[in-house]
Amino acid sequence: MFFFVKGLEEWTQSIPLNDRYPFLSIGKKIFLSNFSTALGIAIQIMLLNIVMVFVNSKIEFSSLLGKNLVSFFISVSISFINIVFITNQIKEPILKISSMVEQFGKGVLSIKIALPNRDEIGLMARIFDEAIKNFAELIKKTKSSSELMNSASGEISSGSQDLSQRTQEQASSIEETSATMEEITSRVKDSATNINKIVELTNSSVIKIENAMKELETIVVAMNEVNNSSKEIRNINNVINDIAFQTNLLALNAAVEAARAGEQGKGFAVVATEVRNLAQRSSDAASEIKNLIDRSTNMIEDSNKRIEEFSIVITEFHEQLTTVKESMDKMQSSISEQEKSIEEINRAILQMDQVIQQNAAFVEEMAASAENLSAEADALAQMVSFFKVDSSMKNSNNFAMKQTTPKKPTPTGLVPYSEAS
Amino acid sequence: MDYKKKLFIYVLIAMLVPPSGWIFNLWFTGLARGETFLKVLMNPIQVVYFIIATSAMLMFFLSRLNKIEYYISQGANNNEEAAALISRMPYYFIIGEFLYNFFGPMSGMLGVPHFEIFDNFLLGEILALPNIFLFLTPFFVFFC
Repeated sequence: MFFFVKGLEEWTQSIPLNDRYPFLSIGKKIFLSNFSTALGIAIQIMLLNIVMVFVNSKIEFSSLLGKNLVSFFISVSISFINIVFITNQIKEPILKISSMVEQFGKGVLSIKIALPNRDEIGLMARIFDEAIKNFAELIKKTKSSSELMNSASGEISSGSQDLSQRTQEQASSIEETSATMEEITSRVKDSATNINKIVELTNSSVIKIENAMKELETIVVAMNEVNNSSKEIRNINNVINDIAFQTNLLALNAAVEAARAGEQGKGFAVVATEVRNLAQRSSDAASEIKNLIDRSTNMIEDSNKRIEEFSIVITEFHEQLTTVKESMDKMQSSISEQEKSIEEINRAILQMDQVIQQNAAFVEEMAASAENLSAEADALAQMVSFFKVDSSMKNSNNFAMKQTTPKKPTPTGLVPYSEAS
Repeated sequence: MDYKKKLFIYVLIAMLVPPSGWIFNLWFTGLARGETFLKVLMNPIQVVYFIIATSAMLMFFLSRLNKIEYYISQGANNNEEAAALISRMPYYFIIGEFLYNFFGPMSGMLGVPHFEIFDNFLLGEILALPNIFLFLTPFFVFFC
């Protein structure tokens, strides 16, 4: 019967225990086994005596004692077998678990208890197996993670060194750019100053040209007035010429009349001659005046024409100068914007410089952190290598040897807990 | 030998031990001696009962063991059903053995004049008790 139980347990080992279908505890097993065996012995001996006395009330004492002894030995033998089996059922799994725990303490994770028992010990063994399996998985993952961490931190370290170098190059480029920008800024400022001067000069020129144009208009008006005056003088001259002609005629008439008057008219004839001479001189003077006025009029007209032409030239010059002024204004505002843009660029370059400096500092910190990480990964790998997950795994290095000195086993093959820990 | 065959043989042994123990107790206590003992030993009713009961028990367990074998071959698909069946196996056994041990002495004593006396019959019947306590209960306990 015991063999049946053991065989069934071994056979159904792959089927996990289930909480819905509970089993007896070890304590109950021991109690029921011992109680049942004791009760069986008691009943066996009691029944033997009852039946023997019932069958033969005059049975001899020696016969009764002998049969009782035989029955006792048979019952005790069966009880002994029962007790041995129940003891072994508890002792063997515990010894096996202890042995496995000892192996586990030495870092061997490729162990499996795999007890077939369907009681608390079996459950404990299965939980322990599961825990070791999970722990072995964890250690495997930790090993591979530490290797990955190591290689990754190496890459980070070399990458950060490259980055640091590039950042330094970038910083020097930024410094050069900053110097160039400062030069450009000073040149643009000079240009702005020159442009301002030119604009001022242009404004001044425009104002002067405008003043000149006003003066020119005044001259034109004055010339027109002179022209008008010449025309009036010509009219007056014509009147004087007419008066001279009339006076000449009157002087002729007076001379004729004086001739008629004879001696008495001689004096009058002299006066008439004088008047006629005066008239002649007036006429001559008027003719000269007329000629002068004509010349003046011609000269004025000629001057007017020239002034008009000059006025056109001045106007064109004014327009061109205005265009130049507008262009200069635009240039001025453009240079002003350029100055602002250059200031912004300078600020941006300054910020970039600061950022690059910060990046350089950060990269150095990162490189240091990567080196620390690499060292930590190495240490982790060394610590994890204490556990032997798989026989094909390498790196079972000296760490385990250093950490676990061989322990003297107890007679049961177990290492004392205090020593193992 | 695979586990199923082994277990099958163990059930067969479990069916052979109680009658042997009971017959031994009859002889050893002196309740049945001589001709009476031979009559009990050769009782055809007892032989027929033994054959039928043992066959029924073996067939029943064979069907259960086949089911367990099927569950094992299915892997983790039927773990719950398998666990339920395994947990019921000791109850099947203890009930079967109890009935077998209760009716077994009756079949052995039936038709034997000596056991037509009630006291003899009663003593013969209770002589099966040590079988239950010394064999069947420990089996149940160890199995669980």
